[in-house]
Amino acid sequence: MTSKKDEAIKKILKDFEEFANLVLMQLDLLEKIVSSGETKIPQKIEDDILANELKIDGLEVKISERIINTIVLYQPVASDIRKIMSCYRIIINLERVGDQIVNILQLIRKIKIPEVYAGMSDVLLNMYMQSSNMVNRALVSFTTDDKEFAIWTIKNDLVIDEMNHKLLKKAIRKSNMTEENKQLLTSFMNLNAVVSNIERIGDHATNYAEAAIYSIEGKDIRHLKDID
Amino acid sequence: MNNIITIKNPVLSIHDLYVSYEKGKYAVKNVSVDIKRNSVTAIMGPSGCGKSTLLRAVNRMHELYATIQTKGSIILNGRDIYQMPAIQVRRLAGMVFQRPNPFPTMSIYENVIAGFKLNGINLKKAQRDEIVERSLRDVTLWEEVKDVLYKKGSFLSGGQQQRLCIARALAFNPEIILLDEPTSALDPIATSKIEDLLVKLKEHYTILMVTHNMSQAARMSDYSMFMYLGELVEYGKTKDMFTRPKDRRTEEYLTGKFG
Repeated sequence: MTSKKDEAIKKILKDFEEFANLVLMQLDLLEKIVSSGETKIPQKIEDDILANELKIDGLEVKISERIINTIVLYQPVASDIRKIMSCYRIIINLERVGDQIVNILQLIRKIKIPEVYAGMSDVLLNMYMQSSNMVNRALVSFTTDDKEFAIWTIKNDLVIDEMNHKLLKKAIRKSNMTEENKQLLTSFMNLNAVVSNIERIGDHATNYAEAAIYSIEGKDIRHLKDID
Repeated sequence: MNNIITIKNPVLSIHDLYVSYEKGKYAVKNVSVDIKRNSVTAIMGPSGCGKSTLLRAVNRMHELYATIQTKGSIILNGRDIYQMPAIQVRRLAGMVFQRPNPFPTMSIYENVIAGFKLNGINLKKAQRDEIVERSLRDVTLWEEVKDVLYKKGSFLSGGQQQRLCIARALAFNPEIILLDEPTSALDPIATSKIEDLLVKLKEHYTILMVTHNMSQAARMSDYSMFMYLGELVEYGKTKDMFTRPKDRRTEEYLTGKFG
């Protein structure tokens, strides 16, 4: 006979599976766009990605609440507490992957010179597939308790970061842009990276503020449009 | 046995302890453990695993029953308990039981120093007064009872009675306090007060406590022992045992698969 605690943990993991599958579906949808090398996004794919993003946001809040309730009601210990706390850590970060997929979609749409994008699409696709594969393996490592996949993902991250930056710079060097344009492009890329990181600092601050509201009022206001 | 820690200068050392209630059947089998000084150690495990049997071996209570056989060594603060009179061991290893048991015909005052009287130890009034006040202050009962010391102990609430029993054990300045499920007969508020008291007492005493309440063990103990079928399966820091138990049986017990 399963206990109420075990039932609660099962429900968390079932919701987590749905959540993870949604994010993996998003990654598959975005792969179609990146592999096409085109800046024109098929409307159906865009609609699906945006609809899934709403579901992902909702599931993040739902799973968080389930986890907190389980801890309060059943005081899980040992492997039970480790499982659900790891689940908690993953859903927070996985939701951000969802955000980044939407951001990439919108950024691609805004590219003014499609030929530039088309010229880089092989490199971008290569980087994208590696990152997507890492997400996939990391999630498998959690759901199947596969330590090897987890270690592979962690070790791969450093290798991929290094490789991807080199690949992009190589692609720029080999392109038929003028030297001046290459330098201009590289400079703007670096500047963009700076801006992105600054923006991420603000995002983190928003997360901390949302956590503070939860601490004060017990209300989870993540993804709400109207917070007043 | 998964003994994941080494204890330096333990207050209690148990080596290869066996306790049997009938020939050939062991309630405690081959238990070896060192208990850290000034700590709270919880003994957990399913019913019938040998927790209380182990505890009672420490103050030689089993000798009160002819059929119970004990072998192995128990060293309390460097001294073999079998090389001392049993009555001395029971002063140095004070026991508190599940049901509060103040002596019903004695007053609160008399209950605290009952051990001295029963052992034929004569004390001057000033000494008796000092022991009573110190012991009752140690269990945070003094302010509640100082004006009614000559009322019967049974006049107190369940939680107060249990604190009185702890005071009775403390009167002898024991080297270790043994508690056998000390809060299972108490309401939640009284339980909370006893738990707070025991954590406070570890500053000056060592606490070894049997509990079937895992949450209690998690809340208040520094070290935990898990026993199963008479054996000590795992022993370590409570926070480690409750987050990363080493033995599969400990994991299954803690996660409610059995017990």
